[in-house]
Amino acid sequence: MNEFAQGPVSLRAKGVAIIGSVILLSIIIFLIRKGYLKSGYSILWFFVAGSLLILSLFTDILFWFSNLIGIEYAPAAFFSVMLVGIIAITIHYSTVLSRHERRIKKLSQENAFLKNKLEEIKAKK
Amino acid sequence: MRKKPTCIVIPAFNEEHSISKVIKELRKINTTFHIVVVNDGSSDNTKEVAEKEKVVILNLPFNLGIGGAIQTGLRYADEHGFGVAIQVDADGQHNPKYIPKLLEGLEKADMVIGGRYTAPTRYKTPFLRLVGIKIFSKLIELTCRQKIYDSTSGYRAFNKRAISFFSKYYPQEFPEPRSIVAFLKNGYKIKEVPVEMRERLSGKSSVTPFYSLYLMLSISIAILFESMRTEEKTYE
Repeated sequence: MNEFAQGPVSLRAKGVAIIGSVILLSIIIFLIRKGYLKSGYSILWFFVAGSLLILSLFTDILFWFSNLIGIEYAPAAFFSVMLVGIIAITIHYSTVLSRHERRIKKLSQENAFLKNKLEEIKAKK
Repeated sequence: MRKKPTCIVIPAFNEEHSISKVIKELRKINTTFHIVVVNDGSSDNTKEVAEKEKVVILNLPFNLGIGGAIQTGLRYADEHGFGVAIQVDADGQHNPKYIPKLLEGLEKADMVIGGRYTAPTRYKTPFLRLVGIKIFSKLIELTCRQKIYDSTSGYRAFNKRAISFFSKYYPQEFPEPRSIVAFLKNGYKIKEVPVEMRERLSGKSSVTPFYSLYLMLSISIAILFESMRTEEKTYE
């Protein structure tokens, strides 16, 4: 079944990956529960952390996945999932930032209009 | 002829030395102009100087950049029901004597651009800027099928339709060429009329050769991206 000879994933590496993923997932859940992370923004984080946990818990899936995409060294597949996740989150942030920029621009324009109106009213009095 | 006077939008960022002269010149052309200075977060006395001239001043709380400032003025014109708006730089580069010519152009188009390169002029253009302008012109022609010679000119006149369009969407970075692309892509008409630009009254152009290469590339990409937009994204 295996095209590549799978490099053994040592118990220690597996343990570290599991602990890391669990810590990441708990931080995210903690932040969502405390309301520091709006759930809309946290879905991607949740998804990324969840996949990392699954891949570190079930190394067979990791082997299968690395075979699928043609990566000989299974841990590299783990990192590639991580990287794709981080890129997705970053792109998502760029869209959020762009939206915020548009909103801030509109707010500052409204602010200028209101100040102008206020001056007009003051001048009339 | 027109019931409502023309709204003149002057985006100003630290232009205390030239703004009052620009306003006085405009008044000489037509005393009924409704002049709106958009003070784009200036740190100098632009606000105080403009206040003395008895114009409408819209003070932005911080520097939005030229795109945001122009849109502020056009939104003001839109909300106050102006049928015509003209954008004039605060640094004195735009000679107001061309305003009647711009207004004339509005009879056949939604936006009129006072361009430098539609006829031979005395205005000395830095070489790299000229190359850039040629490239942008070509890119706009390729993507929008209309030749605009001076896509970087900020000397423009807008009719009601244009005011309303740009109130909803006006690009933030590199707004001059991008607004042209967005406008043409949405089916509006643009006309270019030749004008002579003057040397700016004060201030300096801060563009170094390396930076202008970077600008050229960024603006070219921005033009292409603008032309790829599928929907008119409104401000939220």
